[in-house]
Amino acid sequence: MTVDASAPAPGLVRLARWAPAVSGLALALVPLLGVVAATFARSGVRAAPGDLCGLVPAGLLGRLVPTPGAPQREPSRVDLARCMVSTDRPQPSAGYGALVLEVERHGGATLQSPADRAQDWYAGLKRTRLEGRGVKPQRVVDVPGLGDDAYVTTDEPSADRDGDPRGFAIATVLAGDTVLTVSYTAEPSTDALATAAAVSVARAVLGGVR
Amino acid sequence: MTRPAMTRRRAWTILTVHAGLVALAVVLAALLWLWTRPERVPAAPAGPVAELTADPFVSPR
Repeated sequence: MTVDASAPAPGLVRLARWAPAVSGLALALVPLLGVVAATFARSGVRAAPGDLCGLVPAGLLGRLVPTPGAPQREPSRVDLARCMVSTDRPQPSAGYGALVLEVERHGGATLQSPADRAQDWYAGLKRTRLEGRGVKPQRVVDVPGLGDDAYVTTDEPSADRDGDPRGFAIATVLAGDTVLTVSYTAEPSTDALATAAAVSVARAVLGGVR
Repeated sequence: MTRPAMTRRRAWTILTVHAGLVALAVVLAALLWLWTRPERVPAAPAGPVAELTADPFVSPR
């Protein structure tokens, strides 16, 4: 009796019969998952809050900006809000302060959620600042426990025309689909005090801008 | 009409080709995931950031 060497085992035949269905399903799942992800990710951008300066507690604002003028709100897009308040009539005994708040919302795009898009933008900006590609030399320091990620940027120490030291800091916070930027300038002051002030404002308003 | 009997060689050919297609699907899915995931946020040095306890002004020069 001879054995036919070319006759496959029954298990092998069963596998070979199912193989086209399995590979077809796997190949079809890839674009299907892509379409499902794109449908869920693509969503409209949320509106930025209207009154940003109003989110800063009055007591804190009074300490940072002595004798403040009227807040200036720039006409902006739905996804971008900016507000500035600064000392109107500087008093020699009180100092000068200027606070700028900015909120930018990000919308979803193909296969990327709004939070992913915000993270992309934020990460690129932070990388640029860390690599020192800004106009001025900058120091960048992380702020743990604020939003999803937060950092503070300060310039090299500088002074105003009278020689008084100027403190300047920018706190940038990523929170979901939102990037909050708080810029603060104070005279006479130091970068350390301006940093503490910018971070305090960011902490105070973050709940209202989420 | 009956199907011709499958030879061992043909069975292995079918299995190899379709295993390759499944691998291609896995690679495509991995590329799709890599393409869509957001950039990792780079870490900066963690510095001391004190809370503001008083006015942010120092005495004039």
